[in-house]
This record gives sequence, C-alpha cells and structure tokens, in this order.
Amino acid sequence: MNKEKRKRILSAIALCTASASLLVTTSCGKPGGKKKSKIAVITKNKDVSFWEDVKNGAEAAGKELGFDILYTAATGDNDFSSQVSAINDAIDEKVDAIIIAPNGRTELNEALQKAEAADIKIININSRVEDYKGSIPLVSSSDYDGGSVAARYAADGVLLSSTIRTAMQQKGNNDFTKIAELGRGAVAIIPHTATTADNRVKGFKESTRTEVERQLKEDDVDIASFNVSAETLNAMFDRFFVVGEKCAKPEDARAEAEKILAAKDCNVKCFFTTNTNTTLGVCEAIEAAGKQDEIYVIGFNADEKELAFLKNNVLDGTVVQNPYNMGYVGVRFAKKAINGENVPLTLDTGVTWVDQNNMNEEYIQLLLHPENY
Amino acid sequence: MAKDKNNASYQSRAYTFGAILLAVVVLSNMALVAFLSRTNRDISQKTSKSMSAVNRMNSELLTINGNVLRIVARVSNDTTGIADDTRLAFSNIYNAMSDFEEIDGKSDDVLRRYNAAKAVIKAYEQRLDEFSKEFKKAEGDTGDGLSAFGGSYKNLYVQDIYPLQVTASEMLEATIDIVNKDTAERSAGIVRVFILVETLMFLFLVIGEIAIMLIAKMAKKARIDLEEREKSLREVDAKLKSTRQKASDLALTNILTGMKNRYALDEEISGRLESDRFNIAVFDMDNFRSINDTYGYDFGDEYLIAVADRLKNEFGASAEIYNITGNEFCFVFNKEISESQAMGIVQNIHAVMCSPYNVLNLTVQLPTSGSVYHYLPGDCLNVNSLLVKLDTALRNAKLNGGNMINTVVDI
Repeated sequence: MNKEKRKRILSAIALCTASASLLVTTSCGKPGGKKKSKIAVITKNKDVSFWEDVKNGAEAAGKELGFDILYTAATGDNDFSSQVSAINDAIDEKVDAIIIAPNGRTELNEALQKAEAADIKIININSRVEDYKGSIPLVSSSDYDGGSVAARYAADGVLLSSTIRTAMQQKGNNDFTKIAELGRGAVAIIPHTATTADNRVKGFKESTRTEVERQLKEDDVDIASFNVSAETLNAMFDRFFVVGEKCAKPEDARAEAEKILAAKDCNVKCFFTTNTNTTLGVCEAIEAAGKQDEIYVIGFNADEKELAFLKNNVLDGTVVQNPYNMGYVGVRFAKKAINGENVPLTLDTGVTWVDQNNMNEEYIQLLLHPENY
Repeated sequence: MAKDKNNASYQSRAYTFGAILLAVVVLSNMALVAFLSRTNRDISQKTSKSMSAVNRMNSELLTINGNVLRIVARVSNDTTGIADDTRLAFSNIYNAMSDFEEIDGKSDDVLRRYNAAKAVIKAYEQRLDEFSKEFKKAEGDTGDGLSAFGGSYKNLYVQDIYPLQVTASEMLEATIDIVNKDTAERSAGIVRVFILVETLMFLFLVIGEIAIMLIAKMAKKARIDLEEREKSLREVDAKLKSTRQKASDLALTNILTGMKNRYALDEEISGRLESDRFNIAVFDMDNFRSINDTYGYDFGDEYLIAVADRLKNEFGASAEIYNITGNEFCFVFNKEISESQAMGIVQNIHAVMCSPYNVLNLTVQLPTSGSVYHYLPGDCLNVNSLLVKLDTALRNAKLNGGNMINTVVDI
C-alpha cells in the first residue's frame, strides 16, 4: 500500500513539473509592460479652428504612436501667461515632451528652460521662441512664404493682366510714371494683430514686386532699365500697397476695409488679409458693397466660413497652411526626441494656394478636411 | 478479492486520464506553437513587404527631389535626362504603391496615413509637371528656363515643391511607423492569446491533476470504507453466529443442570440407530415429587443440580449424559465400553444417585430406578421408540417396587 502511494505521488509530481515547465518555456519573451508617455501640446488660441486642427493632428499621432496628449490652448495670440502656467502644469504632470506654439518671443524661455532641465523635450510649432539657449526643433510653415505664395498666385490676375499690363500695352512699354500711377494703392492689406502678420505682409509685398517685375519683363518692360534710382523704385512699389490698421476681430477688419473703400482716391483692385478674422471681415465688407466682381480678395487660412466665401466668389483665393500636419509632425518629432533620435531642426509643412479651380483636388481636400482621411 | 479489483480499476482509470490529459496538453501546445510561428511569419512577411514598398517610394521621392534641386541650383543642364529620370522615379513609386496596396490586413491608421501620403505624392507630381511645362515654355521663349522665372524660381521650389516632398516623406515614415506598431501589437496580441491559452491549459491540467488525486483519494477512502464495512459485517456475522449458537445451545440444553436435553439426544443419536451398537441407560429418582412437595421447587432444583454435578464428574468420561426430563438422566456409553463394563457402570450410577446429598444444609436421599438397553443396529426406527422402550422398562422397575435396574429385552 505504501509503495503504491509513493508511486502515485511521484507520478503526480512528474505531471505537475512537466506542465509547469511547458508553461514556463512557452511563455518566455512576453513584452514587458510599458507605461504610456505623455506629451503636452500648448497652442495659442482656443477659439480659432486652426488650433483645433493642430490638436486633431497631434491627437492622431498620439494615438498612432501610443502617447497621451494633454492639450491646452491659450486665450489669444498674446496670452503668454497661461502658456507659462501650462508649461508648469506639464512639468508637474511629468510629461516627456512639450509641443508649443509660443505666444511671445522670449516670455516663455524661463519656463521652457525649467522644463528642459526636467528632461522634457521641447518642440516648437508654428513659430520659434527667440534668444533661447539651445536649439528647439520647429515644425511650421513660413509666414513669409505664405505671403509670397499669395502674391505669386494672385499677381497674374490682380495686378497685371487686368490693369497695368493692358494699360502698359496701350501706352507703350516703358512709361515708369504710368506704372506708378496705375499701381498706386492697388493692393490693400489688412493684417491681424499677431506677430505672424508682419512676415506674411513682408512676403506678400516682396513677391508682388518680383512678380510684377517678372511679368513686365515678359512684355519686354525691364524695370531695371528705367532711369530712376533704387529709392524711387522702392517708393513706387511701396505706394502700391495701402496697409490698414491691425485688426483682431472680423468686425474691425470689416470697418477697416470699408474705410479704405470709402476713401476718395480709392484705387483698390485687390485685398490681402493675413488670417481668418481679417479675411472674414474683408469678405463681409466686399459682399456688402457688392464689389465681389471688381475686387480680388486674397485670404489666409480656410475655415468653413472662408470656404463659403470662396464658393460665393467673394473670396478669390486663400493661402492654406497645414495645421493638422503641424500637430501631427510635432508629435512625431517629440517621439524622435524622446527616443534620442536625430530630430530635424525645421520641417516646413508648406503653404498652399487654394482657389475655386483646385479646391476639389484630393490634396487640397486633405488639407481642408484632414479629419476625413 | 472483489474490493481489490475495484480499487485497481479506479486507480488505473485515474492514471489513464492523467496520461490523456498530458497528451492533450502537449499536442495543443505543439499546435499552438506551430500556429504562433506561422502567424508570426505571416505578419513579419507582410511587414517587411510593406516596409520595402514604402522605403522604395521614399527613396524615389528623394531622387526626384535631388533632380529638382539639380535644375533649381543649376548644377546640371541636362534637363531632358533629368526629366526622364524623374518620370522613371515616379513610375517606380507607382509600382511600389500597387505592391503596397496588394498587401492585405492593413489597419485603418496605416491606410489613412498611406492615403494622405499618396495624395501628397500625386500633388507633388502634378506640381512638378506644371513646373516642368512652365520651365519648357520659358526655355522655348528665352532659351533659359530658370531665368524666365526671375528671382521667383527659388520661391517656387521652397514654397510649392519642397514642402510637398517633405510632407510626403513624413507621411510615408508615419505609415511605416504605424505598420511597425501594428506588427508589434499583433505579435503582442498573439503572445497574449498564447499566454491565455497556456494559462487555461495549465489550469485545466492542474484541475485534472487535482481530479486524479481526488479520485485516488476517493478510491482509497472507498476501499477503507469497504474494508470497515466488511469488518463490521464479519463482526455482525460472528455475533449472529454466536447468538444462534447460544440459541441452539439453549435449545439443546437443560437450563437447570446445564446438561444436554432430550432434543440433543435426538439429534446426536438418531443418525446412529441404523448402523451402531451402543449401550444406553436411563435413571430417575423414585418419588422425586415428594421432595418438591416437601421442601419446595427451589430445593428440588438444588438437589437435581447436585446430583447432575456428581454424575458429570463421575461418569462424564465414560458416557454422554443427557438430562431428558426433570429428574430423568440418560447415559449413552462410549463406543469402547463393552456390555459388561456398561453393566458395571450402571451399578455405579445407581449407587451414586441413591447416595445421600447435602442440599441447603439438609441431607436427602432418594431411591433410584433405571433401565439399560444394549442397543443393536436397526432395533429402533427413531429415538422416540428407543426412549419408549427404556421408559417402559424403567416404569416396570418402579412398578415392581423401585430402587432397581431393569434391562430392556427385545421380545
């Protein structure tokens, strides 16, 4: 009896050992649990759809790459103090990276340095902080290029074919004063209040001049051959532009546009605006004045209202950035930085001209409605 | 015997069950491992195919970008060669795209990023096409394509072309990243399923083991129970037997004297009547009733006990003694005792029974009569007729005055 019992116990132990060893050998190499990293995304303005797109892009990348996105938006383009507190919150939350579209050139530096000291990677989107110790990768589209693209695509229809060019051809090919007269005050610019407006205006002005020069040259009018000084030439081109007051709200922009249109010597053939609110204000003014066929309106960005104006022919073209990609690539860069990979110092998400001709193209639809892809 | 067999079958069944269980676990493990490795191979093949397709697209994009740069930076004047090279690069990209699209099982995230990349690549190609047309037109007009763009050709590259290329590359990289992530997730999922199944199997095995042990334990317990029951049954049986023995003993014994009674006599010699010859005698005290009447039944009983004890002591060795009625004793002499010896012993019995007895401080003495029979085989049909013969002889002795021994004579 005793022997039998021992035999039974032995066999039971053998079975247990065999099964346990099977389990151990086969369950080797399972992945260790990894905690989910957090990335803070801080943008400029919670009321502007542009930043909603940034948020959507960041969240899509967060989902794809396995990050929790902590999104904060400031209350407006100059509200750096809530961004500073958002940075401090992010430090407290022990995020791995902060992606920020800075409201201010240097005001955030201290907080960002503190974050970097806490081993948090910093990525700038839209614009870069200045005078910062160390380099911060930037994902943005250039404001200068935005203005420039607007000028390049618009110039043909706005400045030359319809007005100057025709006049020049009638008049003969080298009348400097005629160009100056026809061009004077032909382009009205209504900028918005943020710093980004300056470079957009600069890009727009410079490229407009380049385009005018290039197209005149096609008609064998070489401005360089005019017998005038560079200063005089610069002054002439300067007088092409009527630059309005910086406006924050659509109603301000509308009032400003109406003021310009009401001027006694108004020669405006074209409006250029530098953000959504100024674009909407100007479009409202043009529509109210019934001048959508006479005046060419170049806008910036493309929210639903702007697209409606584009479809109604009030808005003739607009410059679209890629905010979704800014957020998306921002998070991808943050991941690279967190993993210690090489991060490009800049990535240009591009600016794209959108008008009625191309707005149904796939790529443009991707830009306008990234959430549908 | 039966219990051992039962027990053994219990145990062997448990061991068979254990063996089957182990076989099932081992086989399912092998199947699972095979399935796992096949699925993993499948996934890694798809992943490497996807990666190679996307990498091809990306490297062709870089080639194209290089070509564009060569024109924009005026590194090369071989615009036709560069245009051909670019066309080839795009056709390679489209080949890679159809390769990529053929691979099934892509997640929504992968498709989403890939479609974005595809849209950007198409826009890029379209933009380059427009650029190249304008370039050719300008070249046809002036013989110098780039200078026809004035200073704006750089803007054209920086603003219209380059961002599309980097965006496309970034989207392709994102596609690869998601493919890799999906692969890792799927592998992890497989491992999770694997561990789950393994755990279930382990539990199954453990439960099986426990079941085997329980069965073995139950078998053991059942065996012990059975043994105990059999033991108690045996005890009950023994008790019953002894009770029955006692009952039968009682039936064949005179309670007062402890001697065998008439039934015992019947049982023991009825089988001998046909075949044996033996000597048999009966005695009883004459007028025993007077003792009972004079001294009471208790006294009579004590007297009988005393007589019986003496008879047992004196003659127990030479004869089997039966107390067949109240004061009547029957002696069946042993086989080796001859007729003449028997006659001698009969005289002695008579003497013992007639001798005085001290009972309860009283000395009593009663005359005794007896009859003796030298039995020959076949004399009687049954014990009853034998006893009738003896009793008739005894009664004759008593009728003739008593205190004598009469011999049964067959007439």
